[in-house]
Parts: sequence; structure tokens; C-alpha cells
Amino acid sequence: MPDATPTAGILRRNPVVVLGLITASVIGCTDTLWRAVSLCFACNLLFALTIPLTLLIPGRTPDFLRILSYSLLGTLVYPLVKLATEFFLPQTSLGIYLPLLTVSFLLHEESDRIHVAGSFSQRFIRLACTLFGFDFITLLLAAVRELFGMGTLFGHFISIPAWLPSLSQPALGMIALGCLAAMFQAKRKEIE
Amino acid sequence: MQLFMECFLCCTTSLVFTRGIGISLLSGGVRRGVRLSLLCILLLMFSSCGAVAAYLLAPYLQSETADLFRPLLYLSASAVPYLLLLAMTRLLPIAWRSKMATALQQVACSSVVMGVCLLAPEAVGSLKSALQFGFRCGIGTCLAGLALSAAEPLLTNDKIPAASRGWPAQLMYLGILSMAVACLI
Repeated sequence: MPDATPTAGILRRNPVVVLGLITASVIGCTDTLWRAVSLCFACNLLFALTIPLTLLIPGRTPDFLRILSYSLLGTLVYPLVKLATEFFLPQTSLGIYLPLLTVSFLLHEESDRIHVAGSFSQRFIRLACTLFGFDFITLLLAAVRELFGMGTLFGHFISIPAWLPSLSQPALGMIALGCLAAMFQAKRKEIE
Repeated sequence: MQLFMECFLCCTTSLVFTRGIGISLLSGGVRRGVRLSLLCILLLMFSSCGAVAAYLLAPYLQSETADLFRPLLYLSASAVPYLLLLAMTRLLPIAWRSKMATALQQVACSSVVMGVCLLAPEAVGSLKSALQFGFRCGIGTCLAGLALSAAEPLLTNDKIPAASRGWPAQLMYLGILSMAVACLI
């Protein structure tokens, strides 16, 4: 897939609906908007702290150690991310989905891409756009699931009946994400 | 009958169907044409070892502070068999080494193995049940991979609308299978 522009992470290379990454955490944590906000906060903080650290890994590191070292750095940063998430967003718990971010393929891919030649601002914009693309899809999916599954937004009751209470279950979450991915793909083809 | 019950247990334990963990690994592998059989064998090994490692480490991770280092310890635990198997790939013919190394890297640092390690301490009470849990999770993920790989030609067919073709159709397909598994639980 062409990756000419730094802003490709928002639409053309959206990490969730195009590349199919971090699917488990997105499906597991978008049953409510507050959990989705926690996930976005944790993911952004984890990536913002881990990916610059991966620049310390020498370029001559053998391939078989590279991916492992990215994840190890992620797990070293994890305690700080967990404490920060619990401090700023105590009302939600991400459960096992927060530690799963440390071994996500998106972390590996973005860590590889940060080593690609380019100015610092280009690399920063590329990462920021990817994270923005992730946040956008996560929050949109969470809003849809909470609204149509529970009739609430951020826990506040909206006067819409809960059409599909099982939308908060992983199975229907996958189908909802699939529908969102299809809409995204249609829009992307239209724009291209 | 016993085999049917075992398959039933594996499907209901599968992290793909119950929590959506492992979808990226399987669909990425299927899209990149990674040999599914190799992925499945490695997943079985790593998820079994991971569950056993999690069970053995559980007594040392009771405190809140130790809990913060859980992912680090689990990843280190899966790094040991990863490096051992990587060293053993030197015995393979050259043509197989890079495929094996790629598959090993993908599986060792994947969310399936980490997910099994994170869920094992709550789900098991003995070493034998830890091994069983890891094995069943591995088999369940393999069954999901088989189902996805079997449906791959249909999901990328021209008869599927262009917007849904490929990744969106895979998600919806796995979602429908997960609904069926959820009814079995």
C-alpha cells in the first residue's frame, strides 16, 4: 500500500480499519465511550513513550532481536502507562487489553517506521496521524456501540431505546467493526 | 464423542472467538500467505508454554507492584523458547530458515500468547490444567485460523461488494462465528 504522505495513517493506512491492527483491544474496550477514551489515552501514551525509545536500538540489531526489543521496551514503559491511566481515568478498567498493547503489531510497525529516513517533524507527523486515525475509529465505534447497545453516551441516558443490547459483546463488536471498516473502505475508494 | 467435546471446549476457550484476540495475527498471516500449519504448530507450543509459565510465576505476582511487571515477565518467558527455537532453525535447510524465523517472531511477540499468559492464572489451579488451558487456547486459535483460511477465497471474491471485500468481510465472518460460539457457552 502506498505510503507517500505522512498523513496516510488517518485514511489510507488507518491502523484499525485498513491494516487490521490492535483489533482485540479495540473490540474489547469499545463497549462504552469511557473505556474507549481510556484505551486511546493508554495507547497514545504508550506509543509516545516507547517509540522514541526504540531510536536507541542500534540500526545493526539483527532482525530476530528487533521485534522482541520493541515489545520489551513497551513492557518497560507499561507500568508508567498503567499508573497514569488509573490516575487520570479511574472510572474505567482496561483489564487484559492494556498489557496486550505492548505486543501489538502496530507498535512493531511504527517502531520500524520511525527508523525510516526523514526529518524529525515528518516522522512525528506520521506517528501522530496514525494515532489520530486509531483514536478516531475507536471513539466512533465506542459511540455507536454504547448508543445503540445501551442507549447512553458517556453513561448519560440519551432518549434512544437500546436497540441491540448484545452490541457490547465481542461477537457483535467484531461485526460492527467490520461494517465500519466497509464504510471506511468505500469512502477511501471514493476519495482516491 | 470425546473428540467432539474436546473440539467444543477448544472453540469456547479460543481467544479469537471469545475476545477477538489473535485476529490480526491470523488475518495478517492469511493475507501474507504465511504457512498456516507452521503458525498453528508454533501457536500451540507457545500458548502451552506461556500458560505453564504464567501458572509457575503466579505466586510471585500477587502484589500490586509485581503486577505492573507482569507483561515484562511473560514476554521474557516466551523469549526463552523463541531464542531456543531460533537457534534450532540453523539445523533447517536455508530456504526454510527465513520463513521459520518470520513465523517465530510473529507468534512469540503476539497478543495470543500474551493473552493466554494473562488469563491463565485466573483459569487454572494446577500445572496439568494450565497445560490443558494453553493447549486448548492454541487449538481454538488454530481452528479459527483454519476457518478463516478456508473462507479466504470467498471473502475476496468479486461477488462480494468492493467496500466489504477482504478485511471487513473477514471481521464480519469471524463475528458471526463468534456469535455461534457464544451460543454454545
